[in-house]
Amino acid sequence: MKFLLGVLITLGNLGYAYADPESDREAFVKFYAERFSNVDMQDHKDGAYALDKAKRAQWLEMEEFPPYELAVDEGRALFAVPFSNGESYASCFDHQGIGVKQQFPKFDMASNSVITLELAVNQCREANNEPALDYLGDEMSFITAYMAFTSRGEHFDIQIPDAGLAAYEQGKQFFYERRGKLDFACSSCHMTAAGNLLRAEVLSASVGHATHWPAYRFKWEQVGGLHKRFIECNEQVGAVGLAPQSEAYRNLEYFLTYMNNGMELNGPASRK
Amino acid sequence: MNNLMILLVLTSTFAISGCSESQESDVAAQGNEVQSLIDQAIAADQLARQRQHAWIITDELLQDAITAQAANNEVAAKVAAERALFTANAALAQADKEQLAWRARVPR
Amino acid sequence: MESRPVKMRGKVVDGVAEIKVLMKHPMETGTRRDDAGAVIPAEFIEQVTCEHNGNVVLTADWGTSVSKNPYFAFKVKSAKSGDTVKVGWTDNLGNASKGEIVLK
Repeated sequence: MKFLLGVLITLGNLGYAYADPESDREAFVKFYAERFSNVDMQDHKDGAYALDKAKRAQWLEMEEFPPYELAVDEGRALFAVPFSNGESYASCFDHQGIGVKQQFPKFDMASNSVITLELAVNQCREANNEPALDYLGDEMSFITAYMAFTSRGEHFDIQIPDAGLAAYEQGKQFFYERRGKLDFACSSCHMTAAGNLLRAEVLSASVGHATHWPAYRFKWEQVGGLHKRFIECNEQVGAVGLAPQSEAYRNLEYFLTYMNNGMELNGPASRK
Repeated sequence: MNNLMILLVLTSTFAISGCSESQESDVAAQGNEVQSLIDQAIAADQLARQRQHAWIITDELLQDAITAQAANNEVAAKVAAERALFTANAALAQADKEQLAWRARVPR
Repeated sequence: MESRPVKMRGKVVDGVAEIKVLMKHPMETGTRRDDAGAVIPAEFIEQVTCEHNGNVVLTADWGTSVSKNPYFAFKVKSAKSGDTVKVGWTDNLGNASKGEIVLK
């Protein structure tokens, strides 16, 4: 029986040619364009609020005076503080670190790995003899919130060099792979069931998932990063969460952000 | 027929005498079984963790098993250990299956 | 104690000012414990006072049921451009802060 199943799966996958990332992305976007034909593609950056009118009204009211403002102010102040050696964050990034979030994550040839914004912030600190920040802590969230704020209106244009294809494929596998006791993949909720209700919440589309981080979640009463959400999602399906900024999550972020190429950045955002 | 009867009586005598093992070694055998189950579950869970497919419930059940074992509640410990081993193996089976199955979900 | 800003926004619509306030405050209930098991002391806003051109128009008695970094909104009648609206709070530890805007 197992053998037969294996044969069938293999036969079924012979039609799967090793597609390039751009073909993947086009098929990905097409899925959501067809599923949500009355929603403008760019609106998916607002997640579930693009799919549910009542929630959107409440959320827009909140956006008039958003809860992440305090985090952005703190981040602006932290970003300006020089390191003990006189250098600052500005020296580690293009354009003094202003309006650069859309460049991340990027593939670094030297280390043969994906570099996210959070990883770059800590690499900057360590290069200047400062202790690394806790990825799940407030300081990292505030700094990245400020950096995201300065990138509002920019668009993603992530590149995948040949050397980065393996990382991209690993991220892709993670997205579509079932995990945890509930046996859900990211795609189970955010693709197959996108727009449906999960308990009392509307499931958002992945085509807008990378644009609005870090996000202020009312549940967290604070701004938190994308990897914090990955951990939470994994735990919610009964899978043991991985470490923030672990290779698997960075590769997942790489895949997800590439799928969001062309989308407008709107971080930090508030979410329930 | 007579020989058969003698054989039957002798066999049952041996069987009955065989059943009268002491209570203590029964408990010891059971305790070893529980420890073995816990060890197997931990090993399987470690393997699942390495493959980044571990389930949270396995850890919870292992904690239950170890706590029950420490409280000398062999029955509860065995039940929890068996369940922990089951979920750890299920996580590994999931990792195996998903190696190929994920591709079917990619839109083309 | 680091500053606890009281951020305010206000707009006048048909003689009524809609004021929105965001206050930075931990609003600890006093029932939470830290990782070491010690109780995190209670620290919450007890009273909020809102003034319009120097006259108190609203007082609110808050407590532990209001969550961290409270956001709240209220309306003031007979408001016009140039009026001043001030919001201040005091907490159970004796700390206080305030914010002020001039309506456009």
